[in-house]
Amino acid sequence: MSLLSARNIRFARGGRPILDGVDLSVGAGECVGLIGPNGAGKSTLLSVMAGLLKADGAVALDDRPLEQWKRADRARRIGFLEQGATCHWPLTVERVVTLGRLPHASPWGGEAEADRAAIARAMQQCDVTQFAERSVTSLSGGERARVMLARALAGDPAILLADEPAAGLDPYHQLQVMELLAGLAAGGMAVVVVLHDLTLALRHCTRLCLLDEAGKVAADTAPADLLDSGALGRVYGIELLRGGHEGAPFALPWRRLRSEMRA
Amino acid sequence: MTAVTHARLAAPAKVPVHIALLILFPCLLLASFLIGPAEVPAADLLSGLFSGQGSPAALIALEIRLPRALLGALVGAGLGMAGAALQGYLRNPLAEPSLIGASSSASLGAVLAIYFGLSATVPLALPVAGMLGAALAMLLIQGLAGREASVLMLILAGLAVQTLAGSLTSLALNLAPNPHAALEIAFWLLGSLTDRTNDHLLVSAPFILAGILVLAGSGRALDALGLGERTAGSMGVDLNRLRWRIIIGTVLAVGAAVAVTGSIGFVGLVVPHLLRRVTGNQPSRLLWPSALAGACLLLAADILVRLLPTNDELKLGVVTGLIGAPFFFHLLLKTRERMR
Repeated sequence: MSLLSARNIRFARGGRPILDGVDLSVGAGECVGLIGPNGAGKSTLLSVMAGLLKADGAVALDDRPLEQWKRADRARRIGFLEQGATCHWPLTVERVVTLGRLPHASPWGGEAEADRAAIARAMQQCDVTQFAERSVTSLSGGERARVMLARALAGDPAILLADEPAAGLDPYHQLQVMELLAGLAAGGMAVVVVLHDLTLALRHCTRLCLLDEAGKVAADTAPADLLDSGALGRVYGIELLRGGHEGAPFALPWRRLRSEMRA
Repeated sequence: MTAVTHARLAAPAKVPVHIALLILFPCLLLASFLIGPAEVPAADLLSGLFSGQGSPAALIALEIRLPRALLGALVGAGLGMAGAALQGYLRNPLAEPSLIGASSSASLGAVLAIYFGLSATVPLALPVAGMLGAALAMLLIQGLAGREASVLMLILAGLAVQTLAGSLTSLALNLAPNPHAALEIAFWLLGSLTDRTNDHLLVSAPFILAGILVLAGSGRALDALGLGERTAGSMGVDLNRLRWRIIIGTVLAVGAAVAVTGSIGFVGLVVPHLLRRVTGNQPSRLLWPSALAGACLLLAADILVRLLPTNDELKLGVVTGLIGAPFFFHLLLKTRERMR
């Protein structure tokens, strides 16, 4: 059963279609990678699915139209990690992660035992506990990205929508974040993650949804099948170097195709 | 690790600032009540306060000193709270209440009441005209910025309203019917708590208090907004509601304050700025301390006004500026050191 589904989403900006009849659904236990060239509408689709952007079409959360949900209830179900998320004030890391509990806060304040446990767990999962007392604005970009992911996870969402959570991270922490997301999905969370790194996407996602530049879904299938279909190379306009390691397929962007060969 | 987390959450940092403000505030309130041009012994004033009408001391206590002290505290609290809320909302430490046109439009309303001679003939015409001015400005900003206004549109609309109100105020000063009116307008613009009565208190207090409460309720949403508008939206914050909450709260608190005291600058800018670091930089934790510190600053300035042996009583807006600016210099130098 899908927890969050978008059907026939259409969205245009300045007369140019960004999304043109897109379907995407995600269920518990899935880690769906949302991939595609720049400007294909990946972030737009994520915003629409998070209820932050109104578009034509239908989005349903737990089989109920998203717009019928109360804001607070929706915020408890869906965690959203903005691309390049940052904090305007030099709060301590722990304060930032604590803000993630906002959707659960009682009107009269105070942090309950459940809040503290969720905050500590999220900080541990994202490996930011050692920065707890440091100001978030004093961290490096990669460290800050992990803090922001911890903020989103502290809310204990059933669904996580993450926009390029691995961008700007070193390989070690890229793998750490992707292993974390895959692990959360294996534990029953529904994850949709926008990625630019095809190697990470192919290796860690259970399904890949490929958007093309016309804002349509070019493919929505298992990573190995997507690789076999050749759609990746066509949509990105590149030649891929394919291989396998430990029984899993991988692909490296090798060279650009001449523009007329591009899909 | 977990133990550390628990300790931090159980005991929020920097409690002493709140306590210091809570001690300082009643002391200043009492001092403001006891100090004045008429040299009445403190004991007579205090017994007059509780015994009711009758003696001259009781009259001074109830009709002059009490409204002045309470009004000073309320106006300062309103300015401090509005400054903290606006800096949080605009995510800019240099924002202040005048940015969305609340103070200049309230000033314009009051100045027009002086210009047309209403203030001399109709009781309370001045504060009421001031509040009407602020309310009109709010409607104008709402119309200009539109329903789904961004922060930038809000600032631009506020700036437009502020410019218009400022120009019209200057026009009134320029075309003042006689030199006396011009002087009255100019002095009024400098801000003062002198000769404010219980009527002034009663006409403005409900609005200032309502404004303070409206703004105080925005703390959590302001915290979330610090993570960006989209993230705040995903955390359940209704951004439209928050924006109107900030505008309405500011216009109520600042508009009503300016309507009875005249323009008092710097409080809304400097107070939140001074407290930001000691409250851990979190917008929600800055709100009430800023209100308290604003009240303290205004009371202190109003005490100073009455103590300084000048020919003409110094105007409050002048003194808050003179107190506030050196603090600001100090803060800038400290910030520069940290940035090195």
